[in-house]
Order: sequence, then structure tokens, then C-alpha cells
Amino acid sequence: MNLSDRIKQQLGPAALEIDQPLANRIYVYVSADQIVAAVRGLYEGLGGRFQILTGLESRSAIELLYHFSFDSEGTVVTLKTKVSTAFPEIESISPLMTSALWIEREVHELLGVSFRGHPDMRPLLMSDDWPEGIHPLRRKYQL
Amino acid sequence: MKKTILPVGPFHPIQEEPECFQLHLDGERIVDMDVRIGYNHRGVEKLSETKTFHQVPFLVERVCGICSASHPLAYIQAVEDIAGVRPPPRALYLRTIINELERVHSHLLWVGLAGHFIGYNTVFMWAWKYREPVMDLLEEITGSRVNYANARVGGVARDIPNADLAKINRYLDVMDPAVELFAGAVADDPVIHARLKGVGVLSRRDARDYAVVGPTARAAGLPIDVRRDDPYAAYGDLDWDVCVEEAGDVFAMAAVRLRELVECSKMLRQAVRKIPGGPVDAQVRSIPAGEALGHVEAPRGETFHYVRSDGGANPVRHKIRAPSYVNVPSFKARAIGETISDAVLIIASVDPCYSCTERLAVVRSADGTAELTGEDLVRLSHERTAEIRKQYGRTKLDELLAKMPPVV
Repeated sequence: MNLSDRIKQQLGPAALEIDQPLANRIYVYVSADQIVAAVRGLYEGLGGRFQILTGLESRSAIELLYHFSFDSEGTVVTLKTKVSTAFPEIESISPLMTSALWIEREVHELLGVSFRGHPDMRPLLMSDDWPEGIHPLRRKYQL
Repeated sequence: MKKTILPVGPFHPIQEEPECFQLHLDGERIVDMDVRIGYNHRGVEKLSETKTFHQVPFLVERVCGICSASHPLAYIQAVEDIAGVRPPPRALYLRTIINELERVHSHLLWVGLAGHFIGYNTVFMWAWKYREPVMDLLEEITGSRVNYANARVGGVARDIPNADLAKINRYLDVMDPAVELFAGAVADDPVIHARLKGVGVLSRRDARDYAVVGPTARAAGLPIDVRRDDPYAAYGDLDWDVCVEEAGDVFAMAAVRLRELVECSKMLRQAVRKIPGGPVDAQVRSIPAGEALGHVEAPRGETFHYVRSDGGANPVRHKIRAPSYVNVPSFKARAIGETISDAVLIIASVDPCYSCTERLAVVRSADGTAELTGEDLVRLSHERTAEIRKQYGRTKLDELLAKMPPVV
């Protein structure tokens, strides 16, 4: 079974859509409330390696992309989900992997996303006197 | 149980890069640690959105002075995927050659630093003596010792004549036997064994949990290497081996890097021999809307870039993840239970992209005084080595180092 099918099987209905624009690149669309299940599927179920989480603000939402490398297949699988710009909140995946701790802190301070259940939401990059509520990777903000 | 906290104010006149390690001690043992970073945060990802796609490589090669070929390449590969462009074969070989030369100078730098931290300053001199010709070579063929500006979206910016590439072989003819001699001496040295074996062990389980990459991962038995797993540039054409060790200790990390120097040499010789002729630039003019990611095996491990385009002149999002971002936190798993005399070595062993060890300071608990600086910790490491050396007398490594011609 190829990787794309194994993902379909592992994630079940949580995988809303699967795109494979290149042989070594797979994108899986999931809804934000399914993120822990989806991550568990890729990480624990299929043995993927967590690379990083990319957050970005697009026109209508804040997108969160969780990138996993399947090294023995030479393929990167990205889980794509969205949270609302007004109330950007999602469950933390850090209980599943220590490697998520830093990046969730970073996405919080740069984009304002809240990660429910994260044990230690201190700023990672910004200085101690950086004003609360100013998230530099948002498109519009006033200092 | 009394605990001691080591704060290290991040800015110090002698340091190039600031960050702050906090080690919690109980007597001599490290019981917990934390790292504070961000002092050098420059907002490169945001800056990238203000640059055109062709300008971004000049920006991102400055993310890191020593992995400076890896960052632009990962970005460029992502953009080439968005554009559906495959660079000409000669460009792929030129990229491979520059990136392997970078690995050589980076690993030699590390060998030198590790030697210094253990207490063999002659090793430091030796490694940097063999490193200097690579820097000269890179300057000759690209114009710069670091920040080569060689790769661009679609290919490389300048061709390098085959006659210049042949100089690489002459350098390797000098480096190969030196590395072989040195690695042989280190492999059996009882003092090096006593100092590095069993120190700072990263278990396979923790290696996975921290998602470490590069030599840090391979030394802990994780057989991952982007060059083999998801081949890019010309790596798919070359015959070489991924270097894996099982012990996960500092010795294993040194062994991986020394073995990789041999593989770099193999790859460079093959690339110089096999490089085809032809154009070096696919002349990409504009980037359509889309998204992609690129990853390369930098000297420290996987460097990962994600890029999104909306068809405009600039990226609308550029995410950068350097290997040290995942490797540095693993220090926590490796240092707990170890002694402060080993702290410096354990930090240095992941080859972090900054000289963080000098950032350490320890404040003793019980007497509540003697503030030790990073220099003191290096000194503690040297003292430990000196103790061990007394037991073994003159070793093969000492013989080798004594024979080294004077460094001018």
C-alpha cells in the first residue's frame, strides 16, 4: 500500500482531502478539532518524524501546517488546518512530542494562536518587554 | 536537596551570539536545564516577505554564517517546486560541490572546538589548519569564505570552470590522509574514550521525541539523512554511505562527523569527475501562485523551508526551520544526571549554530557564592581531562599532535 493510502486508512474520516502534487509531497486537509487525532495517526500510527509547524495568516483564516517527514519513503506529509482569525485556538500536540514545545510557543507569540494544554507558554523569541497582543507575523498591526 | 541555578546574562563583550542557558545543579550534577533564545531574533521570515523571490537567497544565506549554503538551497528548492522548474544538471552538481565543501569546513571547525573544550588546544590548531585551505578554496571559486551567493532560483548564479574544480582534488589529497591519521588516533585514545564515551547519551527514544536531526540523530542510531532519503541536487547520482553510530554519546557524535568527512571527500571527488557541461541557469523569471517546501541536509542536520506564493513578486510566507532548533532542546535529555565538567562538551556536541557554551554560568548553592562563567566551565572540563591524562601518560594521539608541523 502506498503512503497516501496508508494515511487514508490511518486517519479515516479525519482526512477530509488528500493532495499529492508531487511524488514526494502529500498534503492532508483536516479540521482543527481533529488535529491531535491526525497527528497521532501520522506520528504514532505511521511513524512519521515531526519537522515543524508553520503558521500563517491568509485572507480569511490562520492556517496551521504540521509537517512530517517519512524518511524511509523520502516523502514529506503536511497536515493543513485552519483556525479563525478572531479566535485562533487549537489543541496542543506537545503531549505527544517534546519537539512541539518550542514551535507552539513561537506560533503563539508571532501569530497569536492559543495552544490549549501547552504546559509553558512563555515567549520564545520576543523580548520580555514586547507588548502583549502584538503579533508580528499578522498582516496588520500597530506598534 | 539544594538546587543551584545557573543564569547567564546573554550579552557579554566576548561573545558573538547571545543566548542563555540555565542549568539547575544539585552539587555537581545537572538536574534540570532551560534555554532562553531570541536575543538575535532578526525577523528574517517577515523580512523575506519584503524581498523578491530572487533576492531572498541573499537574505537567508545570512541566517547562519556556517550553514550559509544550506538555507538558500532549501528555499530555492521550494520555489523551484512552485514554479515547476528543474535546474540544469550542471547547476545541480555545482550546488552539491559547494554544499559538501561547506560540510567539510563546518565539521573541521567542530572538531577543533571539541578539541578545545576537551583541553587539547593542539587539536583545535590542527583542525583549523586543515580547515583554512577549504575557506581559501571557497573564496577562490565563489568569491567568499562564507555567504557564497552561488545558488539562485533556477540554477546557480555563476558557473565554475572545471579547472577551478580540479583544485578541490588537490585539497582533498592533503586533507584525506590527515583526517585518517587523526581519526585513527582518536578512535583508540584512552583519554578521549574516558572523556567522551558514555557522556551525554541521547537515547533513541529521546532522539525521536525531540525530533533531532543530522549527526545528532545519526549518532543515536536514527539512520536519517535528507541527501539519501529525499535526494536533491546531484546526490542521487553519487555513491556514498550514511554514517550511523548507536551509542548516542559525545564519542558517537564525534565519530559520525569524522566519518562524514571521509564521505564528503568521496562525494566531492565523484562530483568533480562526473559534472556534466551545459548551462547553469534555467532563467526563471516569475513564480506562479502555489506553495512548496524544501529540505536539505545542512552540516548540523535537516534545514527545512516552506514557501507560499500568491503569484506576486514576493513570497507571502516563508517559514525557516534550522536544525539547531530541534537539536539544541535535546540537551535537556542528554545533560540531566551529568556533571558540570561535562556540560560544555554536551552542549558543543550537537554543534549548535552559536558558541553557546560560553553563555553558561554557575552559582553554587550551599556556600551560595562563587559565580562561575563559561570560561570557568571550560576550565573545569580541561581539569577533568588533565586528571584522566595523568592515568594514561603519553598516548598515540599525543604522539601525532607532537609531530604536527608548527602552525604559522
